[in-house]
Amino acid sequence: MRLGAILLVVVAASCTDPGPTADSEIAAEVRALRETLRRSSPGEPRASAADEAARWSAVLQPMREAMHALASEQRELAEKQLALTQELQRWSQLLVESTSAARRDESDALTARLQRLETALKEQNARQRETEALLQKALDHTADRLEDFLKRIDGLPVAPPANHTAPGAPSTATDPAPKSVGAVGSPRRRAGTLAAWWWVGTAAAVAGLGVAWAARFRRQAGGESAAAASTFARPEVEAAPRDVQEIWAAAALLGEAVGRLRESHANPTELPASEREAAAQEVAGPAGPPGDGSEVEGDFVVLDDELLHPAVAGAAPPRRQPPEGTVCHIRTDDPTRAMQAALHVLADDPRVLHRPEPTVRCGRDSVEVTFRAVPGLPAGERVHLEQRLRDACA
Amino acid sequence: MDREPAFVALSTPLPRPVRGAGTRVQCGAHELVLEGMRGGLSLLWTDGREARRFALGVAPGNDLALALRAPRLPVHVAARETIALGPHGRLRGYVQIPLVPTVMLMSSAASEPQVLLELPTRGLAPEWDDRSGTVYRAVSPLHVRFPVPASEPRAIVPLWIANPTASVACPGQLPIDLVDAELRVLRGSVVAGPRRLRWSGDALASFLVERRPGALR
Repeated sequence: MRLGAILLVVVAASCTDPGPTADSEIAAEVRALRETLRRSSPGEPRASAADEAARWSAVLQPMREAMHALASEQRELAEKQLALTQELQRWSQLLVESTSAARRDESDALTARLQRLETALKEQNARQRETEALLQKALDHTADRLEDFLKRIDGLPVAPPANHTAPGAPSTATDPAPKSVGAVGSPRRRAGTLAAWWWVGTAAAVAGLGVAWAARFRRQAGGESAAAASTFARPEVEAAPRDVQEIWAAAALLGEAVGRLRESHANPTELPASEREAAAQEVAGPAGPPGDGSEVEGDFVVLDDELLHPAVAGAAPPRRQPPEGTVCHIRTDDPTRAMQAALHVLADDPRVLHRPEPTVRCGRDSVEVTFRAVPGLPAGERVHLEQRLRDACA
Repeated sequence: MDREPAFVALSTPLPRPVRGAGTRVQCGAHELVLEGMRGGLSLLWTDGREARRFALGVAPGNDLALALRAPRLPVHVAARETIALGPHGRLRGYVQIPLVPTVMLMSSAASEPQVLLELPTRGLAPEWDDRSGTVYRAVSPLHVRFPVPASEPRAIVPLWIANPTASVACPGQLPIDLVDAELRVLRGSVVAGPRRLRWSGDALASFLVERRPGALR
């Protein structure tokens, strides 16, 4: 046990820093002075206590001055540290005050934004309800007008249409008299199954025409605003019969309602309008300029959009860095002429990339040519190219 | 010395001459002379501006052929005419892309021909493009009728350029990537598959139109 403690102390002592410290240096210096004094006066009688004290005082005078200097420096450092601590406290207080003010402003801005969002949400809900009501009324009007039209065709007695007047709906301004909803079902049941199928088919066709007309109207209004300002005269459209006009008006109303409903329920994953338009044009096929029918007939190939697929060039991912350059150091007697010859060879060789351009640097008795060869160039071709360079520069 | 006709199809056999004899083949400005020498074959090539000699070692059972192959890198064609497309405008035409004369080796050990030599083609200037990588740059007028007379081995590519955007497009180059399988000889010309190029706002995107049976006449 004791032996272990001794070994532990020895190991701890050996692990301590052997380097001299300030205290050990001072002690060593004092010991050296004492030894010097002892050696300098071995045979002299012992001096008095006052003389010894004076000598000690003289010996320790430099040490006293150093201690005074150290004490004064320590005091200055303490004062500086106190001043820095006070300054840091002041900065901390300023930072806390500014942070609280910024957070207050941020919370106010967030509150205002939340209020704006809530207001926008309410307005959007109101618009959605209005659009739904408009769509419902448009469907009712379309059904009524279709029914009237079909009755006129079949020679059945016309029932008074239902009154679905909506404020702001354009078709209600042309309604001469109010119509009743209850009169819609009874003639349809009387007409029989065949007439019902006929109505359903006709209604679907008219609805499709309305949607197509509305889509075309939106495309023309959005994408070809310049055409509206064009000075070219538009061809006049021949007036259609009144019944057909009414059906078209109802279909337009229905298309407008459907369009507004679609806009209100816009899908974020849906393609943008330009992409949809491009896709529709691609599906519609190539439309050459008018009057080139003979060219199309005499064309060499027939392009079919269904057979389109990306070319190989589009499938390859582009590389980020150009190929590594090849550096040739060529000794020559006339570097200027060698530089021109090297540039001429590299500019004329189809195995060298023209971009990035080859570079030639002139030295006192040599030129350094840097160029990039075509990827996949065989080693024999590369060596042949370098030899051409050396021959041209020689 | 046997002399082959000047017209070269997509692949023309190069008969191996006996020692002391030679076979001469001309393909546009390219002229090849294959000679039998002691220990192997010697191929002399010239395009009127430069001449090179190749020493070939071919096993007795293997045959050689001169093939016109598509460039193995994408080609950016710079039209001699400035192309400007209005909004939703379309343009049709043909461009020519130089083909690479290649000496192919038909070996009995390999099922497919192997590339022995690719002869230099001056119409294709390789360069680096930050978007497409290493490409060939070629210059061609935009032809409007087919066939296009040419004295050099070139592939005629029908183009259909469209600008589906609402702004004016002025493309600087037409990106085309050819493969050997789409090259055909029609009406005495080498024709590649038709391309549809669509302007995307800053560049043209290339789409290859597959051949429909009976579409080509």
